[in-house]
Amino acid sequence: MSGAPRAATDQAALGHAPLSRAAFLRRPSSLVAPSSRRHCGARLAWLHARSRRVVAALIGLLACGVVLSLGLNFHWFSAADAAVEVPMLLEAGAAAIIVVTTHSPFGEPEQATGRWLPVLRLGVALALCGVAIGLMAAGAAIGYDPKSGVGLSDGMLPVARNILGFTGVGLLLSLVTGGLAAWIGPLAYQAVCQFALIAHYTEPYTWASRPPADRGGWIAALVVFAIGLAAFTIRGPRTRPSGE
Amino acid sequence: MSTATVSQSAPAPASAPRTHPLLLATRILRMEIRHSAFVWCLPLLVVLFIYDPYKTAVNYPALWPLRSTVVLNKFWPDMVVFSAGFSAWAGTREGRRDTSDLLGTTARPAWTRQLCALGGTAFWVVATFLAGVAAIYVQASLQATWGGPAISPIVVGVAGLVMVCAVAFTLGALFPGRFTAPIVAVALMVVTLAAFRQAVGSTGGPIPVLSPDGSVPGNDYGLFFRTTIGVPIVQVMVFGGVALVAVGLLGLSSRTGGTGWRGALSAVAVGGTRLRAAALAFFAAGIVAVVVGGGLAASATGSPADGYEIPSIDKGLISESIPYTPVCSAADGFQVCLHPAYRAYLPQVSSALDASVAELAGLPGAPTRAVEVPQSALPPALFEGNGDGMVTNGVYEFTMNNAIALQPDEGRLQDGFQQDIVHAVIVGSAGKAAPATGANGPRINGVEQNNGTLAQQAVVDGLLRALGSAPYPIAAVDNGPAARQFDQQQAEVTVAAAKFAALPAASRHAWLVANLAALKAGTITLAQLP
Repeated sequence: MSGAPRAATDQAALGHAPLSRAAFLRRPSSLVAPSSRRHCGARLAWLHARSRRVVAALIGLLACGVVLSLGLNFHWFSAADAAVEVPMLLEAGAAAIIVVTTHSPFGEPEQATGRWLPVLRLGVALALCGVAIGLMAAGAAIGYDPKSGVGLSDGMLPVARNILGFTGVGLLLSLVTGGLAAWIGPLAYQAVCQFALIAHYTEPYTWASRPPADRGGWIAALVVFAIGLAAFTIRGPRTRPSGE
Repeated sequence: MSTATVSQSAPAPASAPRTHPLLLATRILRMEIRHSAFVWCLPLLVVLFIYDPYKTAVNYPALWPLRSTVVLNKFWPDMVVFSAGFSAWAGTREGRRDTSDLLGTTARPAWTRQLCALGGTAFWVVATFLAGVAAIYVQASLQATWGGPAISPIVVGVAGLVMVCAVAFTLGALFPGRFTAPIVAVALMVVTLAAFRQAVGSTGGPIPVLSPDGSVPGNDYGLFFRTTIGVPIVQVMVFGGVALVAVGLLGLSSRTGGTGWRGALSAVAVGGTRLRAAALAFFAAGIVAVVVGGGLAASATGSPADGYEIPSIDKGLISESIPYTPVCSAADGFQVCLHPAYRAYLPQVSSALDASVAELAGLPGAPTRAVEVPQSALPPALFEGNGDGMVTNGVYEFTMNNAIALQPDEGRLQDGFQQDIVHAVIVGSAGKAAPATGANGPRINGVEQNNGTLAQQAVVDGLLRALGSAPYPIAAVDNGPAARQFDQQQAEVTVAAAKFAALPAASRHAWLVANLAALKAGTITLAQLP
């Protein structure tokens, strides 16, 4: 048949080199130099982060750390329950900020853009959790004053546990409500834990009210985080036609 | 030819019936109420309400003034985070959905639809709060023995929640974004907790007075003295003022579709003269209310009824005692008189006191009758050491504040009274006030507890053991060599107390009659006890 020679003739007429079968089957990635590929990866990650308002989230997380530091300096946590209540609230706030970044402004069409989306979702969530824990630790370190006995009553371990656990709750909720409304999960769950703290509940699922060495609390928090992160990575937050 | 003339004029085009603006606003409000996202957190709030405020109220003694405090101390803070979050969420709606330009072309000003959106969320918040209050009050009405339902916590709570909604909504409208709702919710909750800590710590200044939630008052609250009306008035004034400022700001700020500050003061700016005047009036009235309320709150003084009073409003009303006729046990034995609110506790109190008085009958210093008095009539030092009262001129004057726990505790009432009586007869006074320096520097009211000698401690604990009560609480030494010595001494006291308790009642009493003077003088050692 004359299909292939005619196509080659057309290409020649247009001034292009004839398209060979080998060139057609060649993977596009092999056409890109490794350094350029790294650049593309970084750009993709940056664009993903921008679309999720990660920079604004970082400012919000920084604010949580600053409030923690100020609270320690001004003795907001000096009373018995307040030593846990206010940090718990800030941890929930940090988790709420993290889970709100899961919202995509592009909605469903973004899911057809390639195979890197789950990796980017996972990366952003993990990175923000790490930053949140780091900023809270920095805030606690700045506010720490051993001479006057000012410091987080249980150290940094519960902060890390609670941020991870609350984030897990929020990520799970994002599958149902979408990213924008997922902040309700961490804040609502901290309310439950605040009550458990006052009522001296010992159930592991109220991990934020448990002591730092409580194994059940750690297991519960990390299981919720792992399930939430895995589900969020694979499925992504719920997207609605309205974009919310 | 005839000419046809049209004699009747053409009918004027029918104009559409003009809808009253209030009716339109009501329609929008109804729509906002129907679509409010706050509904989704109601199941969680119900669960929190049952396990926190409601359960707490049920456990409190059945006294209206005390149970009413749950409304502000427990339920109100539970609602703040949700009210703030969802109000801010509603406030960010136009910015979040990028509909500000589209809605800017509508006939009504932005302020109208924003107030309706705020009203929709506030409706659910207030309705939920009132439903919770109704549940607490209905339950209290079935059990309460004294007083009536307090209105001031409801008014203060509603004003406080409306303030939270207005502030959060305005912040949401001013700074629309995906992070606004959680950040505003956390920020307002941190402010609430910080104010609560100041109220509990009684740090002075207006903040502790303005904090809706604070320390749980004593059981006597509102029984002997009138509770303040000044503090709720000042709180409503300030909360209402802040809400008005927020709403006024919403109408004035150009970021939320208002006329802007210059436009507000201009006679020819767009947006309607009435609207600008109303927004400015709201804003100015709010500022005035906050300043006046803050000034009044700063003038607050301690109240004999517990908490604070505003002298310029209360005008000594609180210091007036509420008249009552005490309920007393039979006069032929050891007579016990209680406030009628505690009528149900009379058998328990009489039984506890009768037993201890019978054990100490005939000994010098033993009381002949017992009378309940307000806690403010007793020295503060008494309550630092778990005491309920003191023996004065043969009368045991006590309060029920410490006797009945806020959580059910069967043994507490009997233990407290018997420890007081036995300690008063064997040792003497419970202790004296001793100012000390707190961890953060300020001077605090401490107490130097009068533990008595080791022999006195052993006799007291022996008598209490014989009566079936817990040992008299002794302040422990925390650490160091003194702590080891203290532990060793207490072990010896426990052994001697057990030995003394094992004696027949008649032998114990005879030994006390013969040796009480020497024991009180401190000349009898632990080894000399029988």
